[in-house]
Amino acid sequence: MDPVLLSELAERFDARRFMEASMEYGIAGFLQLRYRDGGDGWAELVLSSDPNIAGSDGEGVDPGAVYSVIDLATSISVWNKLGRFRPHATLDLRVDHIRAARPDRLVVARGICQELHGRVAIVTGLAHDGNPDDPIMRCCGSFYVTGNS
Amino acid sequence: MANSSYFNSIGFVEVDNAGSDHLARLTFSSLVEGRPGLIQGGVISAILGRVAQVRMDREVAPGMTAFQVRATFDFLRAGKPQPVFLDATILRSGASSALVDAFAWQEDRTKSIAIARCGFVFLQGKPNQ
Repeated sequence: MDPVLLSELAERFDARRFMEASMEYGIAGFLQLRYRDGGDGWAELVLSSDPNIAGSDGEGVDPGAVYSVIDLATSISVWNKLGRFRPHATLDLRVDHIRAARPDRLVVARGICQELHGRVAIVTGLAHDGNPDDPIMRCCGSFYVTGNS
Repeated sequence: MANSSYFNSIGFVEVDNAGSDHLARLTFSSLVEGRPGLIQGGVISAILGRVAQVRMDREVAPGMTAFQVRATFDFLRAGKPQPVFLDATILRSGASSALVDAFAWQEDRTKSIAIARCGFVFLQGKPNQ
């Protein structure tokens, strides 16, 4: 990512600018993740259905691809809460698979930063394919801020 | 279980050779980067879950499907821009459920970059049918 943009985001985090830049490379680019909405301590990303990321046996989006969306949505929820971009490393993650995504559905991942104390951020998240009350996956995890804060 | 397009796309390959020290590997490419030069945590989680699935699929009784219901992941080291090797061990496989440990390493098999514990339930036939 452009170092000038990164230093600007380190001063004042802007999730839309961050995602636009992230879409140019890496897993976010491959999955064509879009920022849908967000606010203080939360963020939502959208993953479009695509044959390249379909799961086994005619299912919708592969749960493995959803992991990457949840990882990024929960990460952005931390920076949205902090108001600044700080690199962090995933410490741990627990995921419950509730059901398979339906074919040809968008998947939305919502990340929520529940706690931010010192260098540790505690997050929860869920992914759904249209109805947030009928999720396909739930998760909780923690990140460790590695950059200067 | 049929191959997943997603895992083929990101460079995940199952290994059939019985003498191999790994059950699967991931080729590094820009597709799996989170921050530039590092493999995304979500990708590492996904391939750990997948290798656990590969292990279960090889062991599951005929006519049954092992359906992953949960997983916990711990990240020990950064995923560097190198291949990742993966293996999985069944801790317990009962009549209706199983528990599988999966681990990922890069240069040194004794230095995992991440580990997972994955829970499965057995369903008759295929989960969506």
